[in-house]
Amino acid sequence: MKKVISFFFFFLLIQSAFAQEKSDFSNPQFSIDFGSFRNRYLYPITNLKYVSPLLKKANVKFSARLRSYGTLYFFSKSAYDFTPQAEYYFTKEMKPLYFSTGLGADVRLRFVGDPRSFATSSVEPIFSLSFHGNYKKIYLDMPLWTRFYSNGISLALLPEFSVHASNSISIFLREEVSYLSIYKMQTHEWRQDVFLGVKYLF
Amino acid sequence: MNTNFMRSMNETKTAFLFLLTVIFMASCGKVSTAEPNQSFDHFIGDFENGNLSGFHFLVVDTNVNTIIVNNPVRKGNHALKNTLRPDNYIFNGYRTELSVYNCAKYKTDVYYGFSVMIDTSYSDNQYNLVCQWQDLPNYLQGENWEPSPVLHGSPPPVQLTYVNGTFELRMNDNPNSSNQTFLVGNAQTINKGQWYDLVFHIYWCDDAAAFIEAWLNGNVFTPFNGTDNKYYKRNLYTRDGNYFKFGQYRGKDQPLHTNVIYFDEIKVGSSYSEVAP
Repeated sequence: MKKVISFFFFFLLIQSAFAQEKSDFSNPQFSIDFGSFRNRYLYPITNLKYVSPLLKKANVKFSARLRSYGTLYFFSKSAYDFTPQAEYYFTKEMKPLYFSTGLGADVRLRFVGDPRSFATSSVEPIFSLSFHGNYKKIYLDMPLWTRFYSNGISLALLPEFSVHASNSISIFLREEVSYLSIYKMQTHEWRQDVFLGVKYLF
Repeated sequence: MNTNFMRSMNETKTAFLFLLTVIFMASCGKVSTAEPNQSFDHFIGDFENGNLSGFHFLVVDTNVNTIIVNNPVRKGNHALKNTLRPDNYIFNGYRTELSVYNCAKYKTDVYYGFSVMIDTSYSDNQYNLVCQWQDLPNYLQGENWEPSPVLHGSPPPVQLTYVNGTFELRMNDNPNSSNQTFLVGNAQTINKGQWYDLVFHIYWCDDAAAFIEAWLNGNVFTPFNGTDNKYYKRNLYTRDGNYFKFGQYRGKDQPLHTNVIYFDEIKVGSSYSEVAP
């Protein structure tokens, strides 16, 4: 496994050295990241994410994220989140500041068979509103995800700072701050997760 | 006629879309945070039926480690003889434990009671967890028991330890540390070969509203706070709650000898009188 990962990064570095000028708008994007520091303790979580280039006729990008819980090696026996989204961009080309809005689904897959667990698999709609900014090689993306549940709602702010290390590769740090609220009980919980990752533009 | 028909069609479409939206929202799952004040399982484990039904096991061999006996007993005709041998290593620790699930949920007010006797032949002086309320993974938020790699591990938030001839009620507030437990109240001197009745009143919460008060043979031993003997301290690492275990647990420290502890009248309920042995 280590050899495969090492070869993957080596391939990315070599390719990026000879690549044309690339941008988040014109090239597909693939990222992997690892975390996380959850509220009070460390717990391993990994994410794989693909983002399409902007489809200029419709100003739309498609993305899909696969989150694996309880592992730093992507394969989990207990839980995954799969999150496909379509995002409409209010611009056709990269600007210092721009916005996007999206719709998608959050597919929660839970495989734990422990009788102490009340976690179940389900699908919820996501509505997102994002702010994007950039200055030279520094990028800031700040999506706000709203998830709708049968008994409540969650708001998640996912600020992501990234630095372009080369034409194709960015390194990023993302914090996810979630507010989970149950309507009937008038109760809420704040959650925090932190991730460190690498993004690659093809 | 045409206008009426169009209006009717539009209304039908709107109603259909509204209905679809309602059905979709209702079919969604629940928010991944625990609801407060859920019902918990009341429990009686007095061993009088001659078996160990209702308990969950963390033992090497139930025929050796957890035997029902007629003597000694605290009440009735049966009690549990709990034996930990030096080679009883299972689930990453030296242990012989029985557990009760669904009795330490977020924002619930619960009483626990049991009787315990340290056998006269018990000879180790090192710590031994007689009972504990162990934290659970945050299942609702995707966690499980065996993450890879294990990035944190710690003593349980609340535990009763037998060490060097005393009972110590200890708590832990740091899920990332293995050695930051602290004593609540004074250590209680214990004589071997004698039954002791313990009752714990715990409000489970992940903030400072959480508390514990405890009695040994009817005498409260958690410190007086100026009003009562409730010791206020956060006792949940996550809102997925804890679960109750009793028996013997030595962690990675191998016991030097075979040690025996007797238990009787294990109870979980909503009041002191419901659980007191």
